[in-house]
Amino acid sequence: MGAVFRKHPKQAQPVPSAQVHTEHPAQGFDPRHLSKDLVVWCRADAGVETNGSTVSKWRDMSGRGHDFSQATASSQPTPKKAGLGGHPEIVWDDDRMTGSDLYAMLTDKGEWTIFVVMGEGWQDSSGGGSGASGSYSNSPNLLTANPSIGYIGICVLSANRGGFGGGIFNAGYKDSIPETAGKINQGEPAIFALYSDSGGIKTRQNGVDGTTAAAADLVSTATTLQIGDAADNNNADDYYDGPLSEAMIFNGVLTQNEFSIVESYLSDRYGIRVGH
Amino acid sequence: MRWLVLETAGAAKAREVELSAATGYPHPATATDRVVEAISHLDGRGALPVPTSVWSWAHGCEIDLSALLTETEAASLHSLIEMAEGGWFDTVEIL
Repeated sequence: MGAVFRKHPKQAQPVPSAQVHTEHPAQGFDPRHLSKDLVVWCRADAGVETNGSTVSKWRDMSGRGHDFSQATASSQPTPKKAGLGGHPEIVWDDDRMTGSDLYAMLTDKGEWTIFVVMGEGWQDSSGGGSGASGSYSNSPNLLTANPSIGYIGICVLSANRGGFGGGIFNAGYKDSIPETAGKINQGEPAIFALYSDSGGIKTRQNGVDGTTAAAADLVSTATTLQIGDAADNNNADDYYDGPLSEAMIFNGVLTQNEFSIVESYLSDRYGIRVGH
Repeated sequence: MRWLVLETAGAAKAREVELSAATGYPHPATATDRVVEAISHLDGRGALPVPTSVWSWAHGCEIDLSALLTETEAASLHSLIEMAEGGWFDTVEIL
């Protein structure tokens, strides 16, 4: 008898979840109940405080108080009511928001998991960077953590490299980018995960594993989280131009089953097909 | 977005405060301190980004910030490319 993946009490599915239209899309799922603590959880449909027509604060829904904020009006992103999957999203265009100390959130600096969901319309990079090296400069930075240069980052890759990359800096750049099967085109929605465990620094894009870089701990200077721009703010190409629907950071690495659960939840919620 | 270059970093900071006040910042209800943020450069000059659309509490709508500049200032605005070519942004070799 073949393996049966039980996703929902009503549903036993021997076929990939992406091919099944679920009657109840992830109702009741709460990422705060997984095996690793959720330390940042920002959703564009909750906890968004506006300054006129732009976003001045994006509250962390994990309960940890790791909010993002921006005190300069011209650098605040813009909320959009009906984005990916009909849900609100936040649109970044030469904007950035600053959050809490990532390094301080993590118990084991070599074990952590980050998820981000990007909606339709993000722009390719004109620079040539990937992962943390891209976050150093010249590539649009979706999420970074550092006071000056790219100690950790998720960024848009240059054209034809397949979407998003991520990595850290610790005695050299440890970057991961999509393999051929996982590449997406400019502007296509993405569920992107950057994570670290004893096996290395890895990414997943829409459920497909990317390349693996050597294992390394996050360095102690990977501190202040920032969305939308490199922490050094020193290059016009650093800005992420596109929508962001949701972001999560876990204090630890999720199990493979939990990866599937989170990706299924995000896939159902935002209507993004994942490859598992 | 265009840029206004001023002779000193202090002058840019002072203009930041003036333009912020003219647009209703700081705004305590939103914790937004300023309308734009001045940057300085190694040679001591300062620059202000001048967005074409930014929320102003004083006007109750989005405005083109250049409308609040003097004629001389508005005529002197620089493009992003001009700023980059002028060395206002670092260029770092990608690994």
